[in-house]
Amino acid sequence: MREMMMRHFTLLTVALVLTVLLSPTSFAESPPMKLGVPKIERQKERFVITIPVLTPEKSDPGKPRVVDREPTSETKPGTKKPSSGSLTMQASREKVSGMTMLVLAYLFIWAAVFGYMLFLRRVFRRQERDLAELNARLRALKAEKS
Amino acid sequence: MKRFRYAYEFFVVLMLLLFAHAFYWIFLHSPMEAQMGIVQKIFYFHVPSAISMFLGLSVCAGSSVIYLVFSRRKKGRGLWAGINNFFVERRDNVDALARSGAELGLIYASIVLVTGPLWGRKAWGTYWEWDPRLTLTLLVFLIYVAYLFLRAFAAESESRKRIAAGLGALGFADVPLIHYAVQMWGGTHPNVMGKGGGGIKDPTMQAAFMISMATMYIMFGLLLYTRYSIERQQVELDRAYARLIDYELGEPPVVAASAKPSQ
Repeated sequence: MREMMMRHFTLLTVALVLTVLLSPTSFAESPPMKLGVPKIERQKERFVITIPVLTPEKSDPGKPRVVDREPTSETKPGTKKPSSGSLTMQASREKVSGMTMLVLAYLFIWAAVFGYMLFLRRVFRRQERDLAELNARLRALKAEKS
Repeated sequence: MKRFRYAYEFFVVLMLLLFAHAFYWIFLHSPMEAQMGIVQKIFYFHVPSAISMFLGLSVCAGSSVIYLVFSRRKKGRGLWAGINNFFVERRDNVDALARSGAELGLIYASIVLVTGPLWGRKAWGTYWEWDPRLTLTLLVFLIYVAYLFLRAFAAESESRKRIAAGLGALGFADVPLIHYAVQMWGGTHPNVMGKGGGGIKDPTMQAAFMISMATMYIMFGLLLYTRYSIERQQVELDRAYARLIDYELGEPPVVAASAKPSQ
């Protein structure tokens, strides 16, 4: 049973590590969001990020969502400025791919926990069978001796 | 598991229904957070996992203290003697509960340590910061890894159980520090739910968070109960094996006073 437990723990660890490795492909590897202070300043001084209230995003159909990122060749000065429509499309594509990865990570973690639960139930059933078998053998031996 | 089979199955079904419900509320119904966007949704399973981790480690530490304190039977009829003898008769069960709590605490700590950096990469621009809360969480994870290694690989004896109980109880000293780390030492970890944090104002976000918490707690309860039942059944199994060997060798079976299966 101990070997089975260790094997399961290894599998669970691999599953969790895979979650981390898979996730960077979308939302984690994209540039950091502006959370009050830029990253460089943040590294210089120690401070507490306080998020006083978690507030929902206001939906304003007329205004595209501002995405903070490094200037790309498309947005560098002197190059052709993209239309606001393409920016919105890009933001929306990122939102969808980020959401997909987050859903996958969520399901992956829950699958690992459910897997652990199913495994525990299987171990319990096996123990029950072994115990019944042992008790039967003990009863038979007792009867034989008496 | 044998005694509460129907209640157990009921909670499994309830948990599955809540899981589906939580999925809908988190990903389809609750709005995006204004500053963090999509990545804030990690909050709905990072925080309940952290609380479940605390619960698991509390179960381990509490049981370890009980195991260490109540080790010998006391004579007399007083309340303290009664409590003492109650736990002394159930020492194996208390030990099993400590091990189950530590294992679950460790599983939830792994989830916390995986989901936290995913959020951190997006919000802070880095997976890991040597922030007090993060460092202490890693420390508690390593302490309980050591605890489980000790239990898994040291020879089966009373002293192993006592050393493990000592480690389980002392390791818990880290948990209140994790909780108060942000208030005491600052750091980069945000404080949304605790003292100083403004909490969640949006009712949809609140509902998603509450459903996630309920799902995670039921899952935790079911896992703890299943793991504990396995440990207890393993004790019965070991005793049955010992009796069988005694019979087969032709010696009278040595059955300890506490050997009868405790219910």
